[in-house]
Parts: sequence; structure tokens; C-alpha cells
Amino acid sequence: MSTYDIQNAKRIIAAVRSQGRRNLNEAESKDVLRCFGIHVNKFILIGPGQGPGKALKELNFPVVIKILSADIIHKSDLGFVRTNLCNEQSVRRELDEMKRLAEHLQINNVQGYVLQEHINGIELIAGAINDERFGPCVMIGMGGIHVEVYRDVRFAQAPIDEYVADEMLKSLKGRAILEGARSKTRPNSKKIKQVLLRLSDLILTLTDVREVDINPLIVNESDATAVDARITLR
Amino acid sequence: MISLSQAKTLFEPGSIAVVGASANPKKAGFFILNSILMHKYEGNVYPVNPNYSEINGLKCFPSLGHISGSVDLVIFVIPNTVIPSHLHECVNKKVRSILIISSGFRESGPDGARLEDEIGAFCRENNILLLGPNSTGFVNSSRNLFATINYFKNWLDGPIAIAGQTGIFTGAFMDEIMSFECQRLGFNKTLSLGNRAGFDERDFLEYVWKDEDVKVVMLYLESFKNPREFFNLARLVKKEKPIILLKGGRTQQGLTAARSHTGALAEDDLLVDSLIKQHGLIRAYDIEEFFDLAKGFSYQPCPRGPRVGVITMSGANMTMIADEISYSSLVLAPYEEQTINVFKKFLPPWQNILNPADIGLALTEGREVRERCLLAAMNDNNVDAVIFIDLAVENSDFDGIREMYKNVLESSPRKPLFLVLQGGETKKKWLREIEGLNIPVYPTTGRAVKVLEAMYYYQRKKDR
Repeated sequence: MSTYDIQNAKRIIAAVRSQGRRNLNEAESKDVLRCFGIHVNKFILIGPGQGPGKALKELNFPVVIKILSADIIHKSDLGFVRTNLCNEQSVRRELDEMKRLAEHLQINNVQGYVLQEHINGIELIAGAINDERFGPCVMIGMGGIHVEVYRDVRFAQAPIDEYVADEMLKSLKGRAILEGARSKTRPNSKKIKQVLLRLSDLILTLTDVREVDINPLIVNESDATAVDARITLR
Repeated sequence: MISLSQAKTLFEPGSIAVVGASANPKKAGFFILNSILMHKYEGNVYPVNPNYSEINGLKCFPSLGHISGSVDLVIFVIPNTVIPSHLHECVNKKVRSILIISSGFRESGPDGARLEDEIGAFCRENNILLLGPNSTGFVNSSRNLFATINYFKNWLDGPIAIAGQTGIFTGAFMDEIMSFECQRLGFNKTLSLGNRAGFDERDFLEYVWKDEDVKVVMLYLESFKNPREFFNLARLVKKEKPIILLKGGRTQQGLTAARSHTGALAEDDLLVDSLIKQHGLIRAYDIEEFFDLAKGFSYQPCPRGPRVGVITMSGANMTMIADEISYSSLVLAPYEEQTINVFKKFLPPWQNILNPADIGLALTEGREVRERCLLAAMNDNNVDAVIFIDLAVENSDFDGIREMYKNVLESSPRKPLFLVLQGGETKKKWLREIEGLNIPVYPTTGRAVKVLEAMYYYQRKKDR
């Protein structure tokens, strides 16, 4: 636990509270995850009126562009996530379109846009919840269609140890996919377990946090990366 | 949660008063008093009812205050709204536990809920254990105490303790299980939790945990009173005793039904299911599985490993069980050579013997083939459990079945033996003969495999 930057995580949460908010936006949520050693993909914020040029100099294509607003829960459902953009031209086009869409839908609290590198791998979901009755729990599941159609997820009461994290992964119906079926590379399950252990520490340490939602957590041979995240306070 | 010493005053009271005892054989106040007397409970029993001077040969008291001796447990079988007027007398008499059979509380609406909260708070403040309201009572056979409104004329003692948010396990269903011609399950305790205004499933777990007469715990729940604490406790209890849980309210419709039955709170079943697995409890998904599991766990030791040896008189069952074991976490182990040599003695030289070992051609040969093959399998070092599939048909009937199984069990008492038996009248006869030997018999291979797998799972998880 000593390697965590708990002070900083608490500062981020306090700042959100001071603005009267209970939802952390993607950037704030990822900053908190980073304080707990959870790997997040490289992202750059651009203000509502800014262009993407400067940010693109620091990122490798393909990139993803998303709206930054704590008010929008299902970004992709509304059309505020554009993926697999391979050049500056398409980034500018999609960004302009998204801005028009935000105006059209009268979304007030647009804090800007996030540009980030696209990551290849298997989509999982991971999270933690501090439930009133069940107490702090962590969660892992197969992402995308698996979570919505099959609800292939598994919870565990925190704190968890490596054994429980391992059991959680092995009990998923999609475990064959995690073991590398139909793929040349084997997803790094050690890193997934590490995310679960760190989420367990996070939910036990930050007692104001009601829910952490990492969707997707993308896992490939080298790492498990939080590509989108949302934290909700009590 | 309540203390263990307090729980003892409920399960092991020195004296009981039944407020609302009745001489009218159609009333609950008659049933419960009669049940207590019928089973020869050894402590003092005081009927309380101002309308009688005597019930069932016992002196009847107009109120609790008129009883001169001490009273540990008070059972209320009077209308809901009258109960509060008796509570101060309970404090004066230093009563330690109260069982409320009466209904008309939380399950009936807001007025009933208020009344329940009022009684619950009073009991907590005065350190009185409250079971119920809306409970059908409990049985503690270690003390010959049958404080239920249902009669048990066929009660069978055994190692199981069961509690539920229902009366069926202190009533009709339990009576059915104990009335079977054979393969009856024996119980040590059964308890109806009712509305859980005081005593709940955690208290039950805590009490049976250290109870030497209890080896297996069964729970039927529609919601958890405090899930966090329940699982933290269950995790410890299961290190010593398996906990078999049947949890109702898995679906939205089930939850709606549960809400009107026991006021259950919404619980995400995925979360519940995950925690059951994390903490090594055994989940039953229906009442058939619930008692299938209870039979396996209460009759036989858990297998030390996943390797199953199957001997079968039936080819179709052989194929099915091979599939079922493949789908499970159990495995079919290759038999040792000496075991195969025993099988071969009874079969034509051209027959290939594997596991499952098909000895169907020796079906009508009676005892010797069965006994020698079973002994060989039970003593095979490659095998952690044996499932024997036999066909009980008239022309394969034989003498000495009981003695045969007794020998087999004694030869390897730490290895579980399961029997899958199919047949009609001959099956009934065989079952009667092996009654009491504690061999779990299932009608299908699938049910036997499921139970054995759960026992293997428990064996792996119990020390975690």
C-alpha cells in the first residue's frame, strides 16, 4: 500500500466535492486510478475551444477521441466516442462533428475533449463498489457484448488476495478467451489480477467512493489498461 | 448479533411458558403445547391463559406473573396487538428468550411493521432474545424440545441443522422427508426464522457452529439480514461444517414474491452468487438439489480428490455418467491393474474394462460379483470416490445386500460411496435393506455426480 499516492487521490476527490459534484469525469477518475498504480492509457485533454494539433504531436495513431463531461454516463451511446482515427484530418472532422452534436443535444457541462491512444486487446470490465449492505466488493467481467448479454461478471468481497483474484478470473465463462483461445497472444492475466488487488485496496482506502467503473479494461500481452473509467462518490 | 449464551436460553431453556396455550385442539396454542409435551421435553412447562385452570393435565396460569418458578423461554400464541401488554411481565420474570408464533407484523403492512419494531426494540433494550414474529417455531432434538406448531410423528435424529425464512422445514416438507419409506434424512435442529426482528441467520450459524451434534448446516433464505456479516461468519463456520444454502428471489419475479412473503430486500443475484462461491458455501438451486446435497454431506465423507471410480450394470448410464463427469470438475481415473483383474474374473475374456467399468454382463450373478468389484474399487489407490450404478430388477435380486454394503463401507470408511439405483419394487426392497447404512442413493447419475462434485468442491474450499 505504501506505493500508493493516497494523499493525491484524496485531493482530487476533495476538489470534485468542493464543486458540488459526485461524479468524477474520465480524467479525474483516471488520475485517481493512477494514484493506486492502475495503468491508464495516455490521454491529453483539450479545452472546449481548442484544436487537436498540439495534442496529436504527443500521441501515436490510431487515436480515440471522447467528450469530457461528468454529466454524460453513456458516452458511446450518444455518439461521443470516436475510435480508430488514423490521421489528423479525421480527428479534426470527428471533433467538429462532436462539438456540433453537443450543441445540438444542449449538453451544458462540457469540460473539453480527451484524445488518447487506441489500445489493442481483449475488452474486460473491472470495478469496485462499496455497497451499503454487502460492503466493499470488487468486480471483473468480460467486456462488450459479454457483459450486456451474458452478464459474465464475478464479484468478491474486499479485501481479496491473489488466490481470490485468480479464482474470479477462472470462474468467468469467457476464461478460455483470457487463456488465449483463438488468438496469437496470451492476455496478461497477472496484470488483470494486479488491477483487482489494487481496486480492492482503493475501495477499502477511499471510503467516500461508492463505485469505480473501468469499462473497458483492455488487456493484451504486456498490460491491462484502463481505457475509460468513472468514479462515483457517496 | 446475539451472544452464544443468550442463544442457549432459546435452544436449551430450563423452563417454558406458553402464553395463549389452549385446550381447543384446532388452535396453534394447543398444537405447540401438545408438541412440547408429546416429545417429553424435560424442563418445566407452564401454560398461560386466564380462561383455563388446567390444560392437558398441567396447571394453567392466568398470567406470567402468577408463575412462581423462573421462566427462561416465553412462547406467544396470542393476537399480535396483545403481545406488548405482556412484555413488562417478561422483564419482571427475568425471561431470557421470546418466541412469537403470532403473525400480523411486517408481512401484513405498515401497522404490523411498527408493532414489530416496537417489540423488537423493547427486547433489545431489555436483553431478551426474540425469535420471530411470524415464526412457526423450532426443534432442538438434543434437548427433546419441539417448540413448533407442527407435529413430528416420524422425527429422525441426525447431524443436520436447518433454518429458513419459511415454516415448511419445521412443518410439511420436513415431515415428508422424514416419512419416506427409506433414505430418510435425520435432523438435529430445525428453525423457522419468521420476520427476523431479533434472531436471524447469523445467530443460527453462530449457535450451530460450536454444536457438536451438528455436522451439516442448511439455510433457506430470501434475503440476508446483514450480508456482509453473514458472509464473514459463514466463511469461518464452513471451515468446520458445510453450509448448504438455498436462496430464493433470484429473479425479479422471485424477488417480488419474496417481498410479499418475508419483506426481502432486492439483492443482485450475481453478487450473491459470487460471494457464495468466494466463501465456499454450497449453493442449491432448487429444493430437490437442497436435499440431494444434504443427503450426500450428511451420509458420506467428502472425497479427498477429484478421481471417481464408476462401476455400472448399465451401458446407457455408463455413457451418461462419463459425459456428466467430463462436464464437472471430477475426473474418471484409470483403475489400478489389480482392480481391473478383479473385474475381469466375472466377465468374458473379450470385454475391455475401463473406467466406468461396465460389469453389466454379470448383472444376475448376485452378491459375489458386486461385493468383490466394489471392494476392489473402494480400495483402489487411483480412486477418491466410488459411484456404483445398479439395476434393481427382480431377476437380479439376491440375498445379503445389507451385509455386503456394510462390508464395503467398513473396508474403506474414509472414501465416499454413492449408489445410483434404478428399479421398481425390487429397488424399494433393496432400499429397505440398506436403510440406516448411510449410503446416498440417487435415481439418476446426474444427481449423484452433482452432489459428489459439490462435496469435492467443499473439501478444496473448506480450509480457505
